[in-house]
Amino acid sequence: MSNIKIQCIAIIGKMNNPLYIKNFSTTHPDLKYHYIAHTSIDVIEERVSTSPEASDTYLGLLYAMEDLAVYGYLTNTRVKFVVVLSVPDAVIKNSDMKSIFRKIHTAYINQVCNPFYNLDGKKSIVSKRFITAIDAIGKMTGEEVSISSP
Amino acid sequence: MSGLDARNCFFVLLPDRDISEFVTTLQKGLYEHSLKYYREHGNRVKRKRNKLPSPATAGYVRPSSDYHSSAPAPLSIQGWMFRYDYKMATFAEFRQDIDASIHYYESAYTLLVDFFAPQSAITPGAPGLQIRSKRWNDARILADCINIKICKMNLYIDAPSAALAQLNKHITTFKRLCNTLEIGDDTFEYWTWLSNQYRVFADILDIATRSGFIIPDPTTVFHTTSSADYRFGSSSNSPMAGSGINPTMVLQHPGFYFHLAAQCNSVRRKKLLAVEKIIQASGDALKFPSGLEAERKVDHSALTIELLTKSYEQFKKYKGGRMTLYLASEIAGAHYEAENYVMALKFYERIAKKYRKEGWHTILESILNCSLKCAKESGTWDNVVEYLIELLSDRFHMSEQKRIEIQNKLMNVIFKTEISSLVNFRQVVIDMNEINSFSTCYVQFKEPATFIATPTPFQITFITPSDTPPLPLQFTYLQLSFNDSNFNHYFTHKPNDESDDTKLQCVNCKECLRKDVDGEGYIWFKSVDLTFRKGSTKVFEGLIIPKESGDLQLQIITLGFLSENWKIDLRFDVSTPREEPLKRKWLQFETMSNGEQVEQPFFINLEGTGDRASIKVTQKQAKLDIKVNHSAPALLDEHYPIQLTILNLEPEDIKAVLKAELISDLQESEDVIFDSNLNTTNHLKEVDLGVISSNESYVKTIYIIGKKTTNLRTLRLTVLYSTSSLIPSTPTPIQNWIEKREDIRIPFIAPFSVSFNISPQGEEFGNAREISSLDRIERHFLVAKITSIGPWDICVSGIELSLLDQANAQTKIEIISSSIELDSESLEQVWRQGYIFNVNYLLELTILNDASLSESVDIGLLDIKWRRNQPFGNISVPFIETTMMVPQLQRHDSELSVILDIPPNPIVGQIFTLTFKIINWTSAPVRIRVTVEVNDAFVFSGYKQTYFIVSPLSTYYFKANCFPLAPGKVKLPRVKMMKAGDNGAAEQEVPITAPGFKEPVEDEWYMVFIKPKKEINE
Repeated sequence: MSNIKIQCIAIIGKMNNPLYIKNFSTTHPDLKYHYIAHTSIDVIEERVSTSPEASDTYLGLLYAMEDLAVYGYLTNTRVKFVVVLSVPDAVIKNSDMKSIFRKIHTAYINQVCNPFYNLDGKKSIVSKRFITAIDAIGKMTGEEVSISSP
Repeated sequence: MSGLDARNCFFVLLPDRDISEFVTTLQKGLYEHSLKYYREHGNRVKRKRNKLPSPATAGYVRPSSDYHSSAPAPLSIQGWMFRYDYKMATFAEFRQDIDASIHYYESAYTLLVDFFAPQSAITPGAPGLQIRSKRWNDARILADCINIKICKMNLYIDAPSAALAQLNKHITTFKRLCNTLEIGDDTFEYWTWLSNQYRVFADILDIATRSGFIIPDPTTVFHTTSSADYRFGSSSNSPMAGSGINPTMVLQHPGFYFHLAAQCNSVRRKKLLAVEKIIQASGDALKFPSGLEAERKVDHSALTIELLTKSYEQFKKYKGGRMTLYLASEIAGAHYEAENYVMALKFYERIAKKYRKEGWHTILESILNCSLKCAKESGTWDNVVEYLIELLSDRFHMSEQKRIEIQNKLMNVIFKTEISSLVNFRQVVIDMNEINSFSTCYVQFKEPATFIATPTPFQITFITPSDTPPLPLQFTYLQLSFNDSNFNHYFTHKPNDESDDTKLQCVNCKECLRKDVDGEGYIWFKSVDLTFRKGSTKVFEGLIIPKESGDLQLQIITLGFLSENWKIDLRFDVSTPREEPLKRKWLQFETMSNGEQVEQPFFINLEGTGDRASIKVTQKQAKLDIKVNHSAPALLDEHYPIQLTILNLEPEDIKAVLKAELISDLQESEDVIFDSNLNTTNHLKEVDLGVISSNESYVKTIYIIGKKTTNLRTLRLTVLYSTSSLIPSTPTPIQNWIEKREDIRIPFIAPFSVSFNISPQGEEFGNAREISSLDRIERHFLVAKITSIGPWDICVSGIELSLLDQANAQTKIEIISSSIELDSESLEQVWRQGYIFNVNYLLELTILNDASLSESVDIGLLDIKWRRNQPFGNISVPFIETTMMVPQLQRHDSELSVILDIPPNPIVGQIFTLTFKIINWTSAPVRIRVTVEVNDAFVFSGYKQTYFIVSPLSTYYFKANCFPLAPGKVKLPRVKMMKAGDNGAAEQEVPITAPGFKEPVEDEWYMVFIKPKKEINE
């Protein structure tokens, strides 16, 4: 689907601390996405509490704010992924979103596999490889996503 | 027309009737009819609309030439169509046909919107309404109203997506329209309008939810189409369900729309400000004629805050805790814009905590920057300092230039700026654990435990990150607070001559002076370098000497600035555990433990993780040996020597004192303990042992005396000492000397057992004294049988019976004779275990007056002077006395006593005389009847039965001569004496005693041994 335009990808730790927040937009300041990522924790917590599941969970649309749609995903280690999209006036397929989240998850798993990475640390992720991977997901064009999804 | 039948024509509300009941009847009666009425109305309008010609073919040109004229222009076909549609919609609404109503309203809306278009799509070629004309404005308000109607209707029929789609449609339509007409999103008018749209929508949504409307959960909503043709999409039961949703079509709770409204309002304000700027620049206000004056009067900030507050309340209702924080920050921002700094600051302070706690530093930085501005504006300088210090933290990503700016600001506030609003000297305490610090503080005691009087080092490490503080930061003082204020330290800054740019700095904080620092009291003081540079590790090593046992804790480390106006404490609370414990490290510098000089300081790893801000102080393990030499068991009463050998195993000379205490279960113990100085008490207090050299021993003998009871006694020996180098010359022991305690258990046994036997003694009648007085003299024979039962040989030097003073002045007791010589000084006998020694005493008891004499008479005490025979080492133990109480003499006092005197050694064939001495103690004469029973052993001469009278207070002798016939042990002739009863009472037998002979029992009688005539061996 070409209608997906990622504005921001945020990785939030299990203590609700930001691990990595990348702003891909040119119109909004970083601060805005920090706020959005932070407020999305509320919705994620609420969703999880109403339907507790042990496995990784795609939480779907968390909320839409102004011209932005916020999607969430929760790993089984309680790490939260938040993707902010600029809203097109069209349906966003869940499968497309799931595929994006899977990619983020893969990047995160690679990061966690690094034995020198402190899993319980509160510091932001600074790994170049991880940043490159997230950048690649963020800059991905619509076609790439559609190819990857059946 | 109404169609009501005659019966139901009138409805009267009687004064006493219930109004609700009345309304119900009214509704019942009218409902069907009104439905019918409006249906007919609708049908009529529908017919009219159908009669209208097609607008496309009519080619009707709107009266566009003179729109300013007030003359009413004929309505266009399009207008009529709109009019009819609106009517039909309203009638449908009246008859509660919501679906139809929505249909007609939407149709009307489409027609109305077309009026705004420059080129109508429905009536080609017709220009739209003139922009900003009264009609244009009216039409627009009408469009807004219809929009809201449609939204509301959709909510009625539970079609949230449709409602939202209508709103979006309305907004996009008018956005497009306005933009083409150049009154679009550049103007405050547009944003005013947009803000209102969202606000009204939020309001009706709020009303709907309060009436039971449920906001759909986005996870259960699915869309297949875009919002433009939402009608043909489906909500939840689509076969494509689960494929995805259109975010724009997801209806959310009113808070979001209030928030949008607030944001639009905020933009509106900015647009107005932009206009004002242009006007100021050009001086031409005419370009913006409409509504500018009115707009200027609007309090935008108040409106924004109101909208945000509404949104805040909604989010609070929907449990969006973090969202409310965001809104609070927006509210704060609005307050800031309204120059309401105190309010803004309040909001910022409230929300900063959460962001700080969860580590959202980008947000926190923005909040801090805003707070800083507010604090400055509102003149709360304490906060300014706090925010500036927190902003120095490396958690905030900013350019070095910005950092330098912040630091300079901070320094200016503290040291330079003359702040007029700052009246007094300000004292600020900033808890660095609560905020993001520019430096991390670690505390380590090297060891987990230490001993009293042992110098104990500790290190405080400050690590600054590589980018902050950007300039060297110089503190005025560094203060360390322990839980025992005696150890508090205070360091002031002393500029270091050499510019120390090394990454690792060691600051020696040992050798502090005890000094009275102004405002801090007596405190350990030193001047050291307190400059903090970026990317460096600064280690302060200090030394304390604990004086008491317990837990010593370094609690708070304070870095401070002191200036004319300020005293700022940056407080690091090190007593709370750190979140991410690190390996314990210790900086090794100066000298190694082996005395080797370290050229480059380096860290060594210590055991464990985290900080060690507290240390356990205990008494040093005593390196002292107490050897005890004594020969148990101890005997009661003896001087029991115990030889103590105290061996000093310390490498140094020590000064020691000894304490000894006997612990007994008995409440009142008479045990005594003493040393050679003979200061006898039941415990020895602090006997000075003087200085004992290293590896030398000190020998001390102490004595204990156990009295009375033969139980186990515990002797507690305590030696207190301290290395003599640490003690001043004062001899008194100070607290917290090292203590060595030794308990020894000593069994005590009695040295002898003594049994006494007292028997009355016969009188020698021959020497009988004249009974010249009423004195009565009795003799008693006392035998003390002393058995040595102890395991030790005992040397006895003397045994003595000391008579007690008589309690009764009418008795007197004397020793007539004794088996041991009374005057002999030394008996000097050695008794072994089991040795029995008998001491005999003949006692004479003189009773001065007979009246009221008690039956028992005190005799006296038997003293045995003795000691152990074996000397203990070369210690000579003195003789001691063990005193035994002699049992009381029991007298059988009677009115009449008969004493039988049996002559010694009767021989066969030799006559002997039995003498009965009868004493009448009463003042009346007594008549005695005597019967003598003869047996085979004797020949008896005299009356077998006789009687005599004993005068009052006189003695009568009755004699019987016996002639022994056979040798051996025989019974004496039985003599019975019967006393006549008073006044004819029955006779009473008088007991006869024979001193020296065994008392006969029952029918038995005294036995004697009759010797044969000749000696057997001859």
